[in-house]
Amino acid sequence: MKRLFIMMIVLLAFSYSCVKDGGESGVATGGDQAGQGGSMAKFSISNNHLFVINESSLKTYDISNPAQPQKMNDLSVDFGIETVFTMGDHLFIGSINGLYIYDIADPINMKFLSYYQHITSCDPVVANDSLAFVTLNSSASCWWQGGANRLDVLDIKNKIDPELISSLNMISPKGLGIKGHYVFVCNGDNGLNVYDYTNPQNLVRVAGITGIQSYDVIIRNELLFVIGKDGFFQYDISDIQNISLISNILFQ
Amino acid sequence: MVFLLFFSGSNTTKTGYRPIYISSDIAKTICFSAPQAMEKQGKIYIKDQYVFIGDINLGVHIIDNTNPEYPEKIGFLKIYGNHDIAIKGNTLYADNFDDLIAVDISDIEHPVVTKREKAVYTLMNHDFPPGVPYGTYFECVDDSKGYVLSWVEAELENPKCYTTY
Repeated sequence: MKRLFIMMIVLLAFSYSCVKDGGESGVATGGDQAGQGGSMAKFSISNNHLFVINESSLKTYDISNPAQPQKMNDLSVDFGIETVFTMGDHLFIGSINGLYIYDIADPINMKFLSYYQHITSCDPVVANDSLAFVTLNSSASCWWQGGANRLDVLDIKNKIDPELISSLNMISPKGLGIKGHYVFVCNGDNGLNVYDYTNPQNLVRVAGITGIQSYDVIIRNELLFVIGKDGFFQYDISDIQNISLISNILFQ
Repeated sequence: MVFLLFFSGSNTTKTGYRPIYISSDIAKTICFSAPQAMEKQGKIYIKDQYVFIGDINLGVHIIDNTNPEYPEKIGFLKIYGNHDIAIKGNTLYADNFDDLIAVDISDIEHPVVTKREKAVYTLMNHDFPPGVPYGTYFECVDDSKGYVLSWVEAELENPKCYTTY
């Protein structure tokens, strides 16, 4: 009984630590590496800059001192912008109406490069140097019902004039990630599909994960992290033909 | 979608939605607590050996993934009104209702808010219940009661607000 009581005190001490404003730590700590988000993110970090989207604008913060972000600029983009993704000197914004590409080599003078318009849908985006992958989803949770359910592949070698290469109809595409010549696409209640995009005009489904609901993914080396309403799942993807579950944390 | 006010003479009860408020003070307080169950799964973020899983409007679950075969829930970072995070070094950025905050997580059990940028975001779903058909009744939001955390179905007496185009 006494032991239980002590345990409860320890638990209480452990379990509650709050902070209101006015914390003035700001101590420079080591390791300035950024983490990695999924394709549904509304934040993106590139070097010393934090890009933040709200419903209609893109705000840039200088985070050379990570603890003290300083606002640099505020750019009006479009109504209904949803996701932001950076790669090298380029920033991609997925809106309900299309894909915007900006040059962020000089973030204080970022340049609008192009806008690729598509059917009104939800649309996370990932890209490599030459291709962008955009999923369109028309589910009710995306507000705008109607629209399409598909995966679009765009040629973005010329960032000023992206061109649609191919479209693949899906049931309920959501977040996505790329690794090598594979694109991993969450397909809602229908699990996750893996496509080989060696020929971007004709994506070939080479593998898949079934039996889970999937919303978004992060790929790090040989690990695939999947989040869905049932839980968090980790897979070994070193052999694409034999994707194996490493562990999971179920939410219920 | 916006909402309109209307007035009717007689007493009527309608099924609709009522806002659940939290005080402005609590809304902007960041806490670390023991692991808890997921309410509404949000987004995912990874940093070093840690995995962060969003719980929409409530905060982020923190998982130690040092050994991917045995990921371990280590706690919950309570950030009300939160949908998204990003991390650089030991600083976690998050939306906290309409604010953007920077939180020092070098000691994850004792988070410190190092910066708060006010009114970066427009509050979504704050003035009316989200995703309901047009013509749905709801209790008008009283901003003096704090922030709207969620909406619950309720019987409303003489509701003065309903959703419209």
